[in-house]
Amino acid sequence: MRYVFLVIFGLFSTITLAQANSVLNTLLEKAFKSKDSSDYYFSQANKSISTKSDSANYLYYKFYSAYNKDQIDSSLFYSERVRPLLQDLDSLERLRKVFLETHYVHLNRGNYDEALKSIQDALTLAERLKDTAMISLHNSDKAVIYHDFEDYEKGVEYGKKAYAIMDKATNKNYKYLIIANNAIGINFDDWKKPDSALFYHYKNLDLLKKVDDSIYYGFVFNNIGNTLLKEKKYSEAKKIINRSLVINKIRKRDYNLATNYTNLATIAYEEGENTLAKTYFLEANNFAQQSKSIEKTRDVLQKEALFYKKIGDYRRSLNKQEAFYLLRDSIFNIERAEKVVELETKYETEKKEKDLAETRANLAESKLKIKQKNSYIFGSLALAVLLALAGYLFYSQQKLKNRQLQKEGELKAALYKIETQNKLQEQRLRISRDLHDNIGSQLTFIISSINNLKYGFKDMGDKLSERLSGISVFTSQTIYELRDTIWAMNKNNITWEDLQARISNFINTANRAEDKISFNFSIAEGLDLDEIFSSVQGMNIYRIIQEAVNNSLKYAAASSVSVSVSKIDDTYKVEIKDDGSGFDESTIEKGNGLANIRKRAKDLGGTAKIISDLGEGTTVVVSFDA
Amino acid sequence: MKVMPLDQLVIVLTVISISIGMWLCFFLKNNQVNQLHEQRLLILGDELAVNKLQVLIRKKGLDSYKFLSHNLSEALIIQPEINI
Repeated sequence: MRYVFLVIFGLFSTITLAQANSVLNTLLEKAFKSKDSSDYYFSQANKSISTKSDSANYLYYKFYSAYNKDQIDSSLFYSERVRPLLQDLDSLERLRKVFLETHYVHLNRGNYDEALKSIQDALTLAERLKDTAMISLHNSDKAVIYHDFEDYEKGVEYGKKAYAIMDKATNKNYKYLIIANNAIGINFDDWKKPDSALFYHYKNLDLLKKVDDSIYYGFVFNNIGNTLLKEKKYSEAKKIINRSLVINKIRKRDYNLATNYTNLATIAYEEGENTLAKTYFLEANNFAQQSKSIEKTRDVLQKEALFYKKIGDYRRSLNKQEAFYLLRDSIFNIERAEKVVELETKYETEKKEKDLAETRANLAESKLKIKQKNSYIFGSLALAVLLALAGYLFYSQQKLKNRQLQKEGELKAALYKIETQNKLQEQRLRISRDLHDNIGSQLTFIISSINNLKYGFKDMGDKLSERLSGISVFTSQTIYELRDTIWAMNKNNITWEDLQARISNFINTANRAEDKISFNFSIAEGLDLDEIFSSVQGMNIYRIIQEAVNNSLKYAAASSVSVSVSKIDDTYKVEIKDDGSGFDESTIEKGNGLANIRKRAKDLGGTAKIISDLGEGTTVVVSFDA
Repeated sequence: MKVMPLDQLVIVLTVISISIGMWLCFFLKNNQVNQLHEQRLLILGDELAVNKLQVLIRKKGLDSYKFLSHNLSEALIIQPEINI
């Protein structure tokens, strides 16, 4: 609720204030426009002043009112008072106008230094407001000050500057181009360069066609006429000055009318029309006084002095001349000239310092931007470096993990393989063992039973006993075969080296048992001892040698037995040779031995040759492929 | 000698610090990973060694089989710790 009241109160205050403002403005407008009741309205307006802005508004109107009424001292007074307020309120456009009008006041009074100061202030404000038209205008105003101060070179310089500014502007205004050309022209004219003066004045004639209200530019015709007059082109000058006179009468421009009449008076006395000249000089004096322009009054006095001299009225001429010099000296003194130069220097220095500061600021800004840009680039590079490093470290870590995983994988695979094989082999071994235990024990039982039978039935026949013994031996053999088979099933493979050791072992055992027989076992050089055989093959080779050697021991009555193993091309050759009695295979009683040798050779994928002759010894050669 | 601007120096030092920090983090992490890996390798190695030993025992047993004495019972060594 409280906030609602506050809003309503605020709204009410704003409306009241706006209304009060409106009342003040109305009163001030009336005071400005009214000729007789101006003071009354101003006093009423004074009562409505409540804020600083109101005071500024009031004083602003007071200034303009005094200025329009040519109340020089009052206008200067209000100018002094209103300027600080406008400065505080940052009302730059109004402040510029006050400076402009103040400069005109000083100019009319011949206070060129004050006029220059005021116009420079106005120019500074126009530059702040970036008002190209006013910048051009105030440079033209400076050109006029320098013209009035008879520094024509500077006047031309500022006039050209004013023209260039307006010419380059996007919002080109021909009015200010005309004013600039005019300022250049009048400077050239009084600088005694009529051709240059006419050049700029005639440029304005072309520009007049481009403006809406050419009646404003009566001074263009007057200035052309003035220059033509100095060129003694009186007829031409008179025509064009009359044209200017018409315009200035309509516009009631006292200063310009004074100029027109002065020029017409000069033409008149040059053409010998002295009476007409006097009339014109009277008018010129009147308008010069009305314009309150010391420069114009001075100018009329000088022309009058020349006129009276020409017509021989030397007393009047001298009076006029003295009045002229008095006026001129009041305007021109060294102090004033120095002050003008000082002001000009000060202004130019301030402008240069401002430009320098601006340049420095721009430079600093550029440097800052470059620095920022560099920082961004540097920062981006740094970020890129960090990202690259992070990427590399991460990649390295992943690579390490991959290597480790691979290694672990290989190890796991190897472990799985060996575990599986181990388990398979163990299982096979256990089965083999069980098999051997079961069958072996059963076969052993058979042997035992047979032996018991033989022992129990001592008086059985020899044949039966022999038969039973045969069964017993066969059964024993079966057990051995079973054991060999089971062993070979579990062993998987055997090398020549291992085989060599076993065969050597067997030979040494046989040697110990039969010490009268010399045994020799050799393996040919170059035979690869690491060559692998299956256990069955190894078993077969061993049994062949065992069988052959046993046969030599049992039947040959040999004195030496040699066993040799060699390899020719890809064929192994196992040779068992004895120097025993030999035999004729066709005549002997065939047992299982030779048949076993042949069978085992066949199992090896080879052949067994038994070479034996009576009295020649026996050679068993077993050949098989590698 | 041209001195590096302050902001660039700050950036360089920051990058160096972060780089060292990152490298350190990864170094420690990699060490941890390596340690775990070594542990796993040890375990696998131990298991492999156990299996190899069992294979060796089995082989030794089988190699002790004498062709003349047919000592199969001695050759077939059962290893009950192997879980089939």
